Formats: sequence, C-alpha cells, structure tokens
Amino acid sequence: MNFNKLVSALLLSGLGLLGCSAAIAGQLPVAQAADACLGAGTLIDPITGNAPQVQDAVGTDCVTQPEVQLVTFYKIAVCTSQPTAPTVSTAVDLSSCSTYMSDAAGTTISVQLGATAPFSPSTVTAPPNNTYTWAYIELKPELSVQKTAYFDVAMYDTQPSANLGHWCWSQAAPLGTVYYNYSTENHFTSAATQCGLTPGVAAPTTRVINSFNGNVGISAAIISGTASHPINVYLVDQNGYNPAGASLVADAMGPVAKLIGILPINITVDGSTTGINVVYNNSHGATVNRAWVYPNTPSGLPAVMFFAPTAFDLNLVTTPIEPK
Amino acid sequence: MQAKSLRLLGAMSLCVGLVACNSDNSTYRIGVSVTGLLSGQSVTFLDNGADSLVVAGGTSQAYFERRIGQGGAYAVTVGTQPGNESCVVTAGSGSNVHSETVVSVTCAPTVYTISGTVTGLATGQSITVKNNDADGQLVTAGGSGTDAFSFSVGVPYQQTYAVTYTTTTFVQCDVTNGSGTATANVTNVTLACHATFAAGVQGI
Repeated sequence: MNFNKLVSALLLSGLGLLGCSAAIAGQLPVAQAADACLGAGTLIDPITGNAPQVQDAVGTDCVTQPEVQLVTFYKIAVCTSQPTAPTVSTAVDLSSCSTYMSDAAGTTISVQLGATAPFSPSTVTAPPNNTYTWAYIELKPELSVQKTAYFDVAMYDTQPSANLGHWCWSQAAPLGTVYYNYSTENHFTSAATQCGLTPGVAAPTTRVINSFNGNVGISAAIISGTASHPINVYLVDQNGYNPAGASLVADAMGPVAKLIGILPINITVDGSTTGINVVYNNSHGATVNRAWVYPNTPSGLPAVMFFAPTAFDLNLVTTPIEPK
Repeated sequence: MQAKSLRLLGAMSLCVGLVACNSDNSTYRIGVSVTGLLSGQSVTFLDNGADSLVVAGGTSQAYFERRIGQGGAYAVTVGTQPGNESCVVTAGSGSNVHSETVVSVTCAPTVYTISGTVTGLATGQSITVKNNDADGQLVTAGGSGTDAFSFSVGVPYQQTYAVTYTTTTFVQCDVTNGSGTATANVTNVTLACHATFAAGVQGI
C-alpha cells in the first residue's frame, strides 16, 4: 500500500484544520458518525469523512474514535506574525511569539472526547493581551492510540499466525511501534494488531514520525502550506534545526527530535481571557489502516495492519471568563 | 558707746552677709523636653539613677523634683520605656551645673514587622506583595506550595497597614489578615492564590 503517501496527506490536511474553527465544526457530523470503520466495505474519507471515499491502490483506511489518544506537548506559543522556518543551521524564530505552555520534559495529554485535560499550571503562562494570528506547536514526534474495533466481517491481523476474527485491537510497543521510516513493510506492521473471535486486551500503538517520507529520507522534512492552507510542518533535531540531509535511520528516531507545526489562528487575549485550549478532534483520533493484500493473509481478504493516530486535527481557542 | 556698738554690730552683719554670698548655695532644676510621646503613653526618667520623673504623653517638658546644686552633675536616663514606644535621651548627662538644664528626649513608636505567606502559586509563578502600596516584595513560588514574604519596611505602632498584590500573570489571590493597625508584629497575612489562566487540551 502507499502508506507514505497517505501519511503525508494526513499530516498536511490535518494540520490545515488547525487554525480553522469552521473546519472543526464542519467535521462534527463526521465525528458523530465515528466508527464508520465497521465493515470492510464501510469506507469514509480519512480526512473529511465525506464522499468520494479515499482509497489507495491496495487498501483503504478510515477514521474512528480511539479509546486512548496520547499526544505529548513540549511548547505552544501564540504569535503576532508568522514565525520563520527552521533551516539546517537556525531554529524557528519565535521573536514575535509568546509562549503560553512550555514543558521541556513534555506533557503527555490523553485526549478524551468531551473532556478538557489541563496542562499543569507550572507549565502555563498567560500571554500578554494581544491579537495573535499564528500559533507554534511543538510536539513529540510520537503519537499513540488505543482502539478495539468490531468489524462486520472477519479481519486478519498482522500476527505471524494471521488470526482471523471480527474483533481487532491495537498492540503496544515494541511490536505496536509503527515508524514512518521503516526497514521493511513486514517489519513495521508485524504484530501491530491482533484480531480474534472475542476482544483481547488492547494497548496503545505508537506512531513514530521519524520522517515525513517513509524510507525515502528526511529531506522531505518540510511540508509547506498552500495559499488556502498556509501550514508549515517541520521535523527538527535537538537544536531545532531542520535535519534535512542528515542520515536517516530506519525504525529509529535518528536525528529527529520534535515535530513542529506553524499554523494560522485568530485569537485575542484580553482582560476577559481565562485560558487557551487546544481543541483536538478525538472523534477522528485514530485511523484504521486496512489492507487487502498482506503477506500473512490470503490475497484479497481484509486485514487490519494497524491502528494509528490520524492527523493533528486541532485548533486553538481562548476561553472567556465564565459569567457569575 | 551705744553708737559705737551699733556700728560694730552692723559691720559684723555685713560680714556675715558677705560670707553667705561667697559660699553660693544656689540650686538648679534639671528637666526633660520630650517629643514624640504618644497620648496615653508615659515614660519614666531617672536622674543620677534616682528621683523618678514620670512624663505622660502630651507633656512637652517636665522637671525632676531634686534640684542640682551649683557645680553639681546630672545624668538623665530612661527608667521605664513607654509601651510600644522607645525614647532616647540626647546629651543626658553633664557636670558643673550652673544653670537650669533641660535635656532632649525623642520618643518614637515601636516599628513592627509585617509578614505572611502566599499559597497556590505554581512553581516559578510570582506576585508582588505591597504594604500601603509601597515596599513591593516579589514572591516567587519555589514549589513547596507555601512561600513566605516579609516587608522590609515596618509599620509604627498604631499606624495602619494594608497588604495588596500585583501580578503580571493570570493569578488572583484572596488576602486574609491583610489590613489593620499595628500593635505587634504581624505574621499571619495570607494570600491564597489561584490561577485565572489555564490551558489544556479539549477533546471534541
């Protein structure tokens, strides 16, 4: 399957939603239709949930709500102008930005539908009153989801024994660690899921974004936005530099240390502001990566290769003072 | 004969009178001039360790009962300080007294410290506490949950204090025991703070 192509599309399109509340709202009906993954033939666009369905050459994917969605935040800043991009020798210029969340060790948030998980107050500082038009988000390039799904037809898993059953569930690291840049397809999907006649014990599968372009190389670390979606996504090293040209290591982080998103927003912080929340679309939090051709399965029969986090379907919103 | 006797008696009387003038047994008052003594307060002074003189607030000048003879010495000290005040005698001793002497005494209220604690700040978060809108003290949370502060400038007895705070972060604090009239060291001012700015991740 064209796994890498799909991943890139997810990243770009998903981040394109970051600064757009309308887009978020527009996805809510899809969120209500979560678990549209039920049934091998029940397909939806993994990004928009709308027809026409998206299907790659050998498989198809759909989005669903995970039971657990883990995202690790290092820093969030709001900016009055677009931060400059990192280069191979310079980090992102945040001179126009005010950091309102910072945790060098990383704060892992379990995104829950309908709930708000707070950052520790010790990591939060209110930005000065101002209108901010750009956001800078620094994440750990590892995202995790846990999911147990029921399919209307029996699915094969990625275990060597190729179990078959209506129930499939995610597997934890190390077998459940799925790298963007992998040594072989068999490797990165081996045992990332398990299927059976009854549900088993699920655990978070971790998606390691050690490249934007699979095993091609890290030179594709920059995804530039378009005029309609001026989004820039970067993988950076420990210095915050673009590691383009560095040696890429399959099945490992290599030089990649963080995943950065720079996105347009439109928020105003004033005397009535009591906070800024990242609104994260948990309903679309997981993608079910399915395949119709897989070495361990009879050709043409559906397999669940892995459950993985979808795009960063999020936005920044301010919260006002609650009326008394 | 009678006239001669009267002249002799007159001469003797004059002589006695001259003797008396030459020995000069004059005495002089020793006094205190007190400033700053509050109404309702009193201070006791001693001269040469005795002869207590109690001066009440509102009295500007008073004298010891015992007078000092010509050429005598005096040493005015404070026997008992007033409550909540402290009096200091300036140039309180001298000798070879030959005139009435008044020493200066300056009294000042006792200065009390104002201190307390701040709770509820996140580690590294800070506020500035002020007393009577001055003497700002930066309080930065160290992580223990409770952070102490003490103003560098005290408050004189019977003067008012009023603890307030300013912050550049989104923090609100409830101040308890933050105002009053100083009659002793104040140690129980508390500021219970909570963040008014929060950030998180909302799942939709």
